[in-house]
Parts: sequence; structure tokens; C-alpha cells
Amino acid sequence: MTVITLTLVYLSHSRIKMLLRGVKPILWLIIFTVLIQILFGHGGTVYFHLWFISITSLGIINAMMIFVRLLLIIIIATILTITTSPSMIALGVETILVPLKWIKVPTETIGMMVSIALQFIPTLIDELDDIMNAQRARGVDFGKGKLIKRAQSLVSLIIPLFISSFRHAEHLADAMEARGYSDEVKRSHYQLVAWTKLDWIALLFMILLTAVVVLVRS
Amino acid sequence: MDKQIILKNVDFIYQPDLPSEKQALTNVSLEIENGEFMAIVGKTGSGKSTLVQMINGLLKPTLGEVTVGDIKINNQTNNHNLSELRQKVGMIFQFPEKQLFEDTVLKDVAFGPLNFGDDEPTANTKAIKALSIVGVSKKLYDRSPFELSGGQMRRVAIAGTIACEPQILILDEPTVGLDPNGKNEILKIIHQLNEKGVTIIMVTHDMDVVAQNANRVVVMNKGRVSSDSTPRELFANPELIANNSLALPDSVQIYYDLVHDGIQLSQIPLTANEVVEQITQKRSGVK
Amino acid sequence: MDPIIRVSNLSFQYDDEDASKILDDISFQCEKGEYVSLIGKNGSGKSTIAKLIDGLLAPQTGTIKINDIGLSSHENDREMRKSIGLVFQNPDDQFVGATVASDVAFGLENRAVPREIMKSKVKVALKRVGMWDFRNEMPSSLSGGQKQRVAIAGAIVLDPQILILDEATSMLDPLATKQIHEVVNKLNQKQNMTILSITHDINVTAKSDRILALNDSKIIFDGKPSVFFQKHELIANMDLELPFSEKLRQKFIDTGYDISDRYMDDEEISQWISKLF
Repeated sequence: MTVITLTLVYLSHSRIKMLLRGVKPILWLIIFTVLIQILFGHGGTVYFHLWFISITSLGIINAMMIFVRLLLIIIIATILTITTSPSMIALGVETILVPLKWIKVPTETIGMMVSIALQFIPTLIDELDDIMNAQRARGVDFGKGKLIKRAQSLVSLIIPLFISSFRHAEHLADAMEARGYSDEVKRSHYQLVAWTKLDWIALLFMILLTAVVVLVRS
Repeated sequence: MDKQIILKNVDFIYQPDLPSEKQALTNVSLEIENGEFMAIVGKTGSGKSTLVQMINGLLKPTLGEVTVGDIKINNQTNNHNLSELRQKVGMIFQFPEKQLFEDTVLKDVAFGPLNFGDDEPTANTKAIKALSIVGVSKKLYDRSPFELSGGQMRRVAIAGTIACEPQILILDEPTVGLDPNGKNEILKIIHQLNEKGVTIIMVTHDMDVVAQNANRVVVMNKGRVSSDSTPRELFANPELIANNSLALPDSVQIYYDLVHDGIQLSQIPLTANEVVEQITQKRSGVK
Repeated sequence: MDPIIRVSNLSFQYDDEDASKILDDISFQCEKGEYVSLIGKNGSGKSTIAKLIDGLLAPQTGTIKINDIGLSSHENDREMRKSIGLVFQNPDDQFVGATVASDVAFGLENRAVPREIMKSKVKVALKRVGMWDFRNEMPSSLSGGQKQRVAIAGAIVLDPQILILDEATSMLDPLATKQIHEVVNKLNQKQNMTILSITHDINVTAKSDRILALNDSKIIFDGKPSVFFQKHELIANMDLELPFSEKLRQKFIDTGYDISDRYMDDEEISQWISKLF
């Protein structure tokens, strides 16, 4: 798996720095999970034991596995977002869902929802930044003080963020309706995803890989 | 006059060492005196917003030093020791109504003073004082801020900063989106605060507002200070104005139209009144 | 000729029982190719009119006819929207596409227009607003004025007969505002597009053919801008400001100058001043 991911990193021409930036926000989560595995894992040779904490060989192996797994997931996700525009992802989701159309699942609507949600993320981050600055200017010190104080600072972020998201959604809905959007009509597409030979190869490769993994594990 | 704010050779780089690295300020030095009304103008992305965020410690200089009163900020300053600075320097962002979140108007305005360590009665007294300065009536104190009209929300949000009793007030495009009446009311409030001795630093695109309010105007261009003068001196340089995507006020436009027709007034007029005065003066001179 | 927009006895209020009427018995018409400014302070009900005309809201009483077709059923609404393009106030709240070009194409996609036709139409629309060079940019990387020009392109790409601007420049700086109105003027003159511009900024109304003034949920003026600008008391009562040149003309009168009693723009007034010497 690691080898494949590294090949992907090479193929995508992404810069290592950018990939590491994707890891940064959840670094603490990874460290925390790894520590729990090390400290509370069971089985294998016991190296160290104190009260309910025990460091064992299996614990360490498990921790390493989890570390590598999380890292791979994040790197793959980062590569996807770097190489593929949100609208492409949405269109992709819609295309994959096509078989579901037979059982009357509104695939176009789901595709549109994914696309809008993805595009809303940068707006949302800007908005969060603005609101955070405004509250800091009013004396809020995020991440400092007692638990109650911290909870209150969080409220001063979340409520404005909700309100601005609802406003955005409402206005966007009006704008879309004014431009003739309706989930009842058939739409055409400006951007195309063409299914090429390469996609067949990629699909075949993924099926093979899955089969190998399943065989090895059982 | 004492220098209240001093920026000395300030550089600021967003996200240093990353591909998205961007130099926002380059070697900015400014001194601002107590009680000034200063306007900061420039294109989008010229560094105006970065500059003002330096003054209340929301951003710290990558190089150089910012001094406000006796507080110094440089790249070594700890983020958690800025409370005193933030109280001293009030900051009102674009569309400040976005910051409202409490369930009543009064509670929202008292939020700042409470954060800066006031007890509840003191915070409420300050909130009531601030609300009366911005002209929000008592009837609205217990209403939810979200039930108010756009103009009222803007005033409540501004009260939220005024209640912290800052000595310096920074405003980023405070009148955008308001109708003429709403705009004039906000400008009147800012003027009153300035008369009471509060230093005003205002980021704006509106040259009419600059002409009629500011005693000093700084033009930012590509992260540098490209001009620092009185509004009248700035308007004497139409080329600089055009290069920075700014518009001349109507009165100044008329001045240049007249120059084009061979009529030279003794001074650049900033208001309709001044246009008429200058013309009358010129004509009596002719006769 | 029949008017392209005909609004008769329109009243509207939001659902709340105690809410007062936003619009009270409003009637007006717009001719084909006309450039009409609808002016009023914030909260006077201007934007409600835009939404009613586009069928995004339904009136309680009264009728709206576009090209003599009434707005009533859901089906009709969609039919009618084909003749109307709408640009909203907030540049950040109207983007659907990931790039400028794909956003402009959104309306065409909704009409299931074939891809080849779509491409040429998007090109024409983006060129008209001067944003063709930005076709592959992400909307979030544009300035406010550029975003609004893209929004205009997204509306005109559907070849609407009517373009409604709902406070489209109130969040922009003066220079971007001027550029947008130049684009709109060109659409009005070259494409003969009917324009309904909703605004609280009296300075942007000077170039329109006609002004409708909305105050206290009623239309209190309907006529030429030059006539409107001379109604100083009416404008003050509406909490609006006089255009600069009209303020200046009044100052000249007050100081005892013998100046024409009709409205003059900045250029005309400086010509008048030149003649004093």
C-alpha cells in the first residue's frame, strides 16, 4: 500500500511540503491514537508495566500500523483534492452513482450537493477567519481560560458561522432558482469527464489490489 | 503631541516557507499621533487590512516592531499577552454585524467589556453608554440582535467595540452596503468619538469620506506606503490617484475640469461649499 | 407597443400576522429597451419587487405580467424566468461553478443546452462583460467587481430580454461600481436589453431613462432623473442624498448666482462655471 501511495505521490507531481500541510491539522489526533495504542495495547512481549499502563511489542506494532494507515489515508485524500477540482469530484461522484438511477436515487441532485458543499469550504474558512478575528478583537482569547470560558468563546464562533451559512444557502438557492435550476429537469454538462483507457486500467488495478489484500488478510 | 502608534520597518509575510508564501508588507514605517483621523486607501490586496491588523496584534510583524503606547509587538511577542493592547485598540471589521451572537442586544454589547475583565454591572453600564452613543433606543436592549434591521445591526456591532472604551479605533470599510442615511449616521458617530479624543484609523475606498473627514491619508501600494499626506495634497496628484484605482471626489473632478478650461482656483475644493467660495473669490479677483 | 413588464395593484407582506405591508398597491410598467432605476432606502421593499417579478416570491394581491404573460402557476414561473436575468447584491453568494466559465454555463446546463452551443455562448457573455481572460480562474480568487461582472455574464448568457440588478453594486468600491454600470449601459444600448436597476445610490441612476422612487411601501415618483433630482424635499424625505452637482447648483442659488433652474451633471455644471469668467 505504502509503495502504491508513494508512486501516486510521484505521479501527481505534488510537492512534499503541500502533502505534509495536509497532515498538520490532524497531527495531534494521530499522535494521540498512536500513544493510546502504545500505552494500552495488549499482547506480545511486555516491555514495561505500571498500574494499568503497559507497553508491549504487539501494542507497538499495532501503533505503527495505525500510524502508517492514517498517514496514507490523509496523503491519498490530499492528492485527490490537489489534482482534482471540486466540480470534477462532484461529477465523478455523480457518474459513479449512475447505476443507482435505476432504483430512482436522485444522482444529479446528490452530485450538485457534493459540488456546492465542496465549493463552500473555502468561503466557510474565510468566514470563520473573519469572525474569529472580530471576536479576538473583542477580547476573546481562544484556547485559554477555564472550560466554561472556552465553551463560551466557541459559542461566539459557532452561532455567527451558522447564521452566515444559512444566509449564504438562502441567497445561493435564490440565485440558482433565478438561473433556472430545478431538480426536476434534465441538465447538460459544460465540463466533461471522459472515460478513457487509463481509467479502465486504474479500475482493473484497484480490483486486483483489493483481491490481493482480501486474500492476504484471510 | 505624543506619538501614540509607531510602526518601524515592518515587514509581514503570510505563511512563510510555504508555496503560498506572500509578502504583504514591506518596510512600512508610520507614526500616528493621539487624536488623529487617518484614512488608509489602496487597491484590494495592497496591504491595507494587513497593516491595520498589525496595530492591535491580530498579526505580528515578521520583521520590525510595532509600538502602541508603551506596548511593543514584534515576532517574539506571546499571543496570550495581548489583552491590554486589544482593549486599547478597538477594531471594527467589514460587515461587523457578522460578529453578533448573544440572545439580547445588551448582552452582545457587554460581551467585550466582560472579556476584558469588567464585572457584570460595570460591563452593562459601559454597554448602555455605548448603545446611547450609537443611537440604539432602550426599547431594543432586550431584543435579539437578529430581529433588527441591517443598519441597526451595524450600529449594535459598532457599540460592541465602543463599549470596550478603546483609545484607538480602527474601522475597515465601516459603511459598505448601507444606504446614504445609514452611512451618514455611522460617520457622525465616528466623528463624535474623534472629537472626544479617540484616534481614528479608517480603511476605505470612498474618497468623498476621505475628503470630508480625514486629516491625513495614507496610500498603500503593493505592501508599501506610497503616499502619506493631507487629503488636499493627495488630490493634487491625480496620477497617483488613478494608479491606485481610486476615484476623485466630485468637487476635485470639477476643479480639474476647470483647470482644463484654463481656470485655476487658488485651492482644491473638498466640498460643494468650497467650490462656490473659491469661484466667488476668483470672480471678485477678476473684477 | 405593449410594455414588457406590467405590474398592477401589487401588494405583499411576509407571513407574520403582525407584519406591516412591504408593498402596498404598487403599479408601474417598463417598456422594451428601457433603462429604469428603482430607488429607495434600505428596507423600503425594493428587493421584494425583484423577487416578485422573477417569481421567487408570490404576491398576495395584484398581477405581474411579463410580455403579457401572467405569473401565477409554478410552470409559468419557469417559463417567465427565461426572459429575466437577475443579479444579486452579495458577490459571494451566487457562485455555483468551480471556474468562471463553468459558473457562467450553469444557467445553460439547467436548460440542457448542448455543450458546443454552450461553449460559444459562454464566450460571448464573458467577452461582453470583459471577463473572458479570467475564464479558467476560480471565482473565489476574483475581486468583488470582477465577481459581479461574472454574475452579469451568468445572467445574460441566457439571452434574457430583461436584466434586473438587485443592489448589484452596493458592496463594491466606487471604481468597480462605475465599471459595472458601464457594462450595464452597453447592454442596454447595444443589445436593447431592458434594465431594471434597484439601488439606494442616487449617483448611479443619472444615466437611466426613468426613475421609480419607492418609499413607505408606495411608489411616490415615476419620471425622468433630471426631474427627480430637483425634488429636493421628496429626496430628503426618502432619506436619500442629492447628487453632488445638484447640491452644488443649490449652493450657487443660495449664494445668489443666476444659474439655470434645471438639473445639470458635473460636466455641464463645470461648463457653466467656465462661462462665468
